[in-house]
Amino acid sequence: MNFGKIIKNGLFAENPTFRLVLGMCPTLAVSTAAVNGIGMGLAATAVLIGSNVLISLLRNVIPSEVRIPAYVVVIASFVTIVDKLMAAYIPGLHSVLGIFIPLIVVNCIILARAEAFASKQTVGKAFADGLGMGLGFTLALTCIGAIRELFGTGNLMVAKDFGFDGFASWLSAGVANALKEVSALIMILPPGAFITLGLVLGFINWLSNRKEAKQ
Amino acid sequence: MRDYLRLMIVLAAIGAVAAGLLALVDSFTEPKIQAIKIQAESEAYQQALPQAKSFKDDAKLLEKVKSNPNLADINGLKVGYDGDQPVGWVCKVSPRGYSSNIEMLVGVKPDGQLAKVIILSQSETPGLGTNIVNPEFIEQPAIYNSNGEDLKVTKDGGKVDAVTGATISSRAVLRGINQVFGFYRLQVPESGGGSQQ
Repeated sequence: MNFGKIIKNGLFAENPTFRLVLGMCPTLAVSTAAVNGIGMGLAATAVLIGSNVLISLLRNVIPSEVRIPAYVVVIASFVTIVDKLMAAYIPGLHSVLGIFIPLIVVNCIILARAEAFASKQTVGKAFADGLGMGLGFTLALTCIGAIRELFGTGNLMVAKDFGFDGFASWLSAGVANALKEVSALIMILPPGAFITLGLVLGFINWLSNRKEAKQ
Repeated sequence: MRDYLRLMIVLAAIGAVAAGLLALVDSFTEPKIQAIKIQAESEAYQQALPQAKSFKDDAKLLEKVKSNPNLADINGLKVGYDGDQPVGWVCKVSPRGYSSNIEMLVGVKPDGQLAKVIILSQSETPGLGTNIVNPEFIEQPAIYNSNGEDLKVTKDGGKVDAVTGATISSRAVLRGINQVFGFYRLQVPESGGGSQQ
């Protein structure tokens, strides 16, 4: 399997959220807006790449009987170190992404990829898997976030930290207000996460079932 | 038996290396993080009361505020000075919002006018309550032009426009500001002489 294929695998065929259904807690909690999805996804991608490479490097050192506790220690230490370094040297970025970083420690995608992939593969392939899975997670969170943001607030891609007021500021005031009027608050509240995730998962399964039936 | 020993040693070694690395990183990042925190806080105080050149704690005044049940949300207080002339107060208030405590700094001038309201942190409903940090709400003239009278949202018969869909968060912010007005009325009879110096 070459690197491009591994990355594509993480993005689509084995998308961690839509196909493996891993990491549901951050998915449900963070996907209130598209930008939150991008932030959480990119932070998770960085950690996934780092932890995959580390685990792959250590795969001949860690005895298989105690591999899970060893992975947990390695990943948690890695995340904490990244968190500390970011807080000390890039406080601006840390204040935007900081809330996502402790959430990543408990993200089971990280442990799942360490166990299922990185512990059996070379460093290069583990890197590609981390990148692909991370981007797949980012893609999924951004999709769910965009749906919830659009239906919940009538706006899209609001990123105040980067001085971006969202797509509604490009529309005429009448259209933007009409969108706001029809938006349903429930979509950005916790129940909206379940509704959106359920419908999106169902849609994707329907698509892949139809594809299989055709073949 | 020897196998168990090997597992224990390897796991202990991994733990020890991880702990060592964490301690090492912590030793040089922690002072920096604290410095950044302190700087951010002093900058926020400066923004809340731009007239002041320096800030001092007033433990006695804070004690008095804390013993007053009507001012329960005020949990910090600094007096702003320009030279040795007091030019106002900055209160740290954290009223309960819809889903979080809204941490904010409220600067008040010696004549009882609001200097500036700064929201330090909140985790209200994303997309609704979080809009209380937007200038359209927190910097609207109705908040600053009340002459020290208690603020109310339009829904409650006041003049302040609440954030759409987030009346509870908006009320909480105003409650915090009103407590600072209450604080001002409480201590002004005493330090009234001070402001005339």
